[in-house]
Amino acid sequence: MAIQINRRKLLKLAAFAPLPLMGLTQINSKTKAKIVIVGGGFGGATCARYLKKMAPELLVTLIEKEEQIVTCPFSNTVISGHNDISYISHSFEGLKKDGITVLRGLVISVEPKTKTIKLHDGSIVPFDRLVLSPGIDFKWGHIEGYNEQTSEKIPHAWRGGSQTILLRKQIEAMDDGGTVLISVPRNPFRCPPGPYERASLVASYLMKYKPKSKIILFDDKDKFSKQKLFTDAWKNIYGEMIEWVPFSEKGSTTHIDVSGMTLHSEFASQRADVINIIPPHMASNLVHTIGLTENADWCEVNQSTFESKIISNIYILGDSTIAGEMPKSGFSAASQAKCCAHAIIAEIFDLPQPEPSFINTCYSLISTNYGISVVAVYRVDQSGIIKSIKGAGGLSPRDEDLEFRKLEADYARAWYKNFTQELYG
Amino acid sequence: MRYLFLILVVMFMSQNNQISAQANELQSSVLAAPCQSCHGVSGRNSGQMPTIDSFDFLTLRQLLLNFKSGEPTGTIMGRIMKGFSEEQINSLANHFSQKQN
Repeated sequence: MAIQINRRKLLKLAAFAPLPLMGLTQINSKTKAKIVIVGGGFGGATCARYLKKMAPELLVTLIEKEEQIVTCPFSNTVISGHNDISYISHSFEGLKKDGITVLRGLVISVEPKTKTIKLHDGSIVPFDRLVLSPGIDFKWGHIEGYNEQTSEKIPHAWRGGSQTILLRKQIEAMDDGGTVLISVPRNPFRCPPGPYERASLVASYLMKYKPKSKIILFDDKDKFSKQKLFTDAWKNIYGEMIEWVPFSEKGSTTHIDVSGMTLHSEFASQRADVINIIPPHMASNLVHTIGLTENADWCEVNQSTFESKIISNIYILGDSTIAGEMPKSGFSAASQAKCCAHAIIAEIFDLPQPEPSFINTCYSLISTNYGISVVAVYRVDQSGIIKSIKGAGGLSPRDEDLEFRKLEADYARAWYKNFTQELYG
Repeated sequence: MRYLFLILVVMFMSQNNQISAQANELQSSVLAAPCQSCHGVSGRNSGQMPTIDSFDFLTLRQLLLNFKSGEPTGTIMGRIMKGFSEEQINSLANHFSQKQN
C-alpha cells in the first residue's frame, strides 16, 4: 500500500515543472496550459508577465482592443499640460519580448463550456484558464443628457486616450476668467482621489496662465479621499480658485444641458466654460455579457485567487471586481494580478495555495512640487474578505513640511516610471 | 524489492522537501511582489525610488524592522512595514538579498 501511494505520488511529481523562480524546469502538457488574459491595463499586463516569468512554458496570450495602453494614472498631468500624451502611452513590445502572445481584438463572447473566446473578427481563441481585467464601463444616462455621444463635447476623461486630449484642449482654449466644472460620482469609482488631483493640477496650470479662472467640483458625496490634505494644500497654494460643492449643498447631479453648458442637480445649477463629467461606473460590459455579475454592478470573486464565484476557471481582477476593502486603482489591480498569478501557478503545479498579501499605494500630485499619499496593506480574513491591516498604512501626515511634500511628489513620478517599467518595459 | 522501496522512499522524501521549498518560495514571492511596483523588478530600478537588491540579508532585515518600529520615519515605508510581521520581514529580506548579483 505504501509503495502504491508512493508510486502515485511519484507519477504526480513527475508531472511537476518547478518554477524557474526556483531554478528548475520540466515541461509537460499540464504546464503548457493555455492562459488567456483579456485587458492589457495594470491588472492584465501584470498578470501576463508574472505568469510567464514564473512558468515560461505556460502559453500566455493577452487580448487587448487597443494598439497601445494610455494609462489613467498620470493622465491628470497631461490634462494640466505638465506632460505630453506620449508620457502615458505604452506599447506591448516588452510583453511580446517576454514570449507573451499579444492579440489585438475585441472579445464578443466567452463560451465557458467549450472554453473558447470569440473575437470581433470571428476568430476563436481557446483557453484552459481565462483571466479578465477589463476595467470599467460607465452608467450612461444616469445623468440625463450624458451619453457616449455627448461625451464628445463634455469629456469624462476617465479613460486614458482621446478623451484626455479633448479635455486638455478645452482647458487650453478657455479664456482667462472662465470656469471649469468637474462632476464627481458616488463611491465606488476608479481612483477615488483622482478628481481632486485633477482639480489641483488644472489649478496649477490656470494659476500660471489664466489666474482669474475658477474650478468647481460638483460632488455627489459629502467627503472624499485624502480630503484634509487636499483642502489644506488648495488653500495654501491656490487660494480661492478651487471650490468644492458637496452633496449636502447641491443634492444629486441630475442632468446636463449641453447647448447651455449648464450642469443641474437637485438644489443647484452651474454654468461653466469647460465641463468634465465623471459618470457613475460599473464593471466592464464584457463581464455583464458573460454573466459574471448576476445583474449586480460588480463581479463577486474568491478574494484569495480571484476566480469567479459564478464560473470556474474564469478569474476577474482590477476595477471590475469587488476586492474587499481595496480601492479601484492601478496599484490595487496589479497587486491583485500578482496574487492571482501566484494562485494559478500553485494550482497548475499542485503546490499549496500561498496566503495572499496586497498593498495599495496611491500618490496624488497637488502641484509639481507637492505630493501626498495614502497606503494600505491588506490580507484576507477568515471570512474570505480582503481587509486592511489595522495600525498599518494611512495618509501622509497633515503637519509635514514642504520638503516632505516635494519628496512625495518626486516619489510619485518615480512610482509611475518604475511601475510602467514593470508593466510594459 | 526492498531496495526499490528504499529508493522510492528516499526519492519521495527529497521531492517532498522540494515541494516544501517551492511552497515557501511561492509564499515569499507573494509577499515581495507588491514591493516591485515601486522598487522595480527584483528590487532594482532606475528612478528615484531606493533600489533594494543590493543589501545583504541582515542589513535589509534591520532596515525593514526599523521602519516597522518607526525609525527612520521615511515617507511611506513606515506605514507599509507596520503591516508585516517579523517572520514576513525575514522572508522579504531573504527574497531581495538573494536577488543581488
